[in-house]
Amino acid sequence: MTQRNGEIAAPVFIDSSLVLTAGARIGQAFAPRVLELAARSGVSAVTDAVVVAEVQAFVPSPLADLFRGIVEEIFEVTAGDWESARGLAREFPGRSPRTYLHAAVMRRRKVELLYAINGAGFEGLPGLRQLPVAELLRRSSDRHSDSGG
Amino acid sequence: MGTAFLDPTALVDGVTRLGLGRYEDIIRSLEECPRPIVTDVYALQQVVYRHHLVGDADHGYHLAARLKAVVEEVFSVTERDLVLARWIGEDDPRLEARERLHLAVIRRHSVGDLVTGVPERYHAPRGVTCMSIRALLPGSEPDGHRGG
Repeated sequence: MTQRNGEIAAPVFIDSSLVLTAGARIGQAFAPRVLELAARSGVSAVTDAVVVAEVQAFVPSPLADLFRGIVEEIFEVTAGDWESARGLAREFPGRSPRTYLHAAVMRRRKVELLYAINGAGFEGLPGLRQLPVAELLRRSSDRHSDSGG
Repeated sequence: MGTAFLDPTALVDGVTRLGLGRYEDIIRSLEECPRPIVTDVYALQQVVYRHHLVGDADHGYHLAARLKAVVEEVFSVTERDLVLARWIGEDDPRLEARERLHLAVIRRHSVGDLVTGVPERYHAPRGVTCMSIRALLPGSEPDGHRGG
């Protein structure tokens, strides 16, 4: 991973599971907290249009706006991505269709790193590396230590 | 005849509410439709996801791939569509999120007709004629509902 002043220089894909699944599984307060940490952590956050559509569909506006606000680029999702997702589904069965689609977009855009909730299905897909959400907490506190003196 | 956008609920409602047969039957009928048909990548994903929920994602991928082969084009979903979808939702909050997104894609590509299962579902959106899947099948009469 390329480091730049202690930050992750490579773009990091932000999955909607951070707000959709986390709220239900960990607690409603978790989602805004983790998004704020992502925003403050210095990563170059990216996502795709279907992720944002999922967020717009299922979370309240303030949280959806927060999610939208932390990402620097929203990748389009193409028919080619859907075909690639279908190939991933054949090769690595047992995950949700949404996981394959987002993984296909990441592969096309050569994004290797992502933040997602454990169990979202990205684990073990080739070319992708899921960063532990706990890493966000650590990196955020590191930055504050560095800048806060 | 202009291009028509296929909303995946055309298939779902075609099977469950309109008695048009199985998904395969409807897709096969669409092959004979003289009108150019388009859809978007979110629609393909909806077909897959519906089958995934009942434990048969493989069949969902198979059906969506057949649908993809029938249509002239599968439009991408872009950031611009998301912005448009929000505006559309502010204009008519009765629309579901997926309906807003399909309408955004339709408007971005200037497609005039939308084919769904039950046209009233879309509440007559401005500038788009909503029609039942029946209207596309062989031997049917047009039954469009145009928005204001």
